Amino acid sequence: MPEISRRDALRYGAATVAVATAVGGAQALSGSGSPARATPAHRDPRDFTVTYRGREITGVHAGSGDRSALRAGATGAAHEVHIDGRRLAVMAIALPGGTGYISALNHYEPVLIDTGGNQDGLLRLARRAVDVLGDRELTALAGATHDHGR
Amino acid sequence: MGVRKNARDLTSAEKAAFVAAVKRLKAQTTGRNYDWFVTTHINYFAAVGGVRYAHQSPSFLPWHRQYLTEFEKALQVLDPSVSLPYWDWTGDRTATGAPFTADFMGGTGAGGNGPVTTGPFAGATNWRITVSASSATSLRRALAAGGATLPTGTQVNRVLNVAAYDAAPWSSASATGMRNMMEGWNRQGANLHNAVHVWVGGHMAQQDSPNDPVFWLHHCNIDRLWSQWQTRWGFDAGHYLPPAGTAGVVDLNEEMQPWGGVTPAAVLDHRASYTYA
Repeated sequence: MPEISRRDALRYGAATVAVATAVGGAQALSGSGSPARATPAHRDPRDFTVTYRGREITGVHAGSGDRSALRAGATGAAHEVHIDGRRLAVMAIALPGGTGYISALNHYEPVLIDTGGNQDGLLRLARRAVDVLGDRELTALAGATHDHGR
Repeated sequence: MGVRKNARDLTSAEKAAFVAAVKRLKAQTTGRNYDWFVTTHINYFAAVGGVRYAHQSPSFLPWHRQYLTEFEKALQVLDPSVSLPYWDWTGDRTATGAPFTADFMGGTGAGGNGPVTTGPFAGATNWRITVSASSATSLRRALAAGGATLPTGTQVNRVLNVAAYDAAPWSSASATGMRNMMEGWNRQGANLHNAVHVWVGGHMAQQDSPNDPVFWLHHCNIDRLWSQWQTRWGFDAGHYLPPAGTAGVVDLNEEMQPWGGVTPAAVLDHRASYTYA
């Protein structure tokens, strides 16, 4: 078991067992096979703590009622994503059909978040970032927010 | 006057000269070295001082035209024989063909998204990444991974057939106009520029995409396609929009930072400086 998963198993162990059978929605959320280790506070499908390709990804959508997963200094006003505890800035970008989001890791492929059937948008963005990142880590540059306009 | 050739038509000597000049610029420790170009693209991708210069704006095409010229000039200081080549991805569409051969750009990443293993840019000893959102120090690619596809010639023609250069709101939200289809935020009918970054993957998918030398070949092709559009519709000032008075973007006669006094109007007709073969 990778280091991160072992640590989280200790941290979230009890809750994981409790929700593994009870929260079907969290399972459906992680479409690519990684079981979501949701805590009871993560019932909103737009917020998540999952393991994907061995990496822990956490997401808190803008305006989430669950502030427990926010890191120190985060206001909750913007979408927050962390990969193995390192921040990945999520930036809004205006599109013909609405607002999309990009990150430093997937800078040319905006995803829709929150609108219509896109409640899993933030998770899809985070997964794509892990796909690009492979076995490397995010740097401080990835956590820096830039103004791309909406 | 320089002639920019299709990468597939370069001789072995021309490929070697281009690679050597790029590596010398990377090794340069002062001035506008390779990493200065990487950092400049990162800084100007987003809005600077409330103005969008390099992306999501009408000046996407002229800003990158000047960016390519500055890079080409930097290479020519090191080797006057070098011109930028272009990668015509409507013709060369495989992960193993030109320009991804071992004698030029090298191939895809190990395991589909890892370090490039072939060619002159494989491994951190040959080509060390220092400015990036990822801690990877070796160049990475994921050619054609995840179902990504390259734009087709039909899609290119669809973009070149659009008469209007750009349209309000002069951003990534523009629903009509050639520029936002070329750039690829408007994905209705065609997505040229963005889709190629995604197809290459690895560093090319990231904010720090110029870390992959194939960036220059891709953008050289985008500049060539704009030149084709200009050949059809006009190289004149009437074929850049907006003309004046638009906040947040570069109007025809406004300066493009960080290129000093260079305006879109100044770069529209490139034919006295370079042409495409």
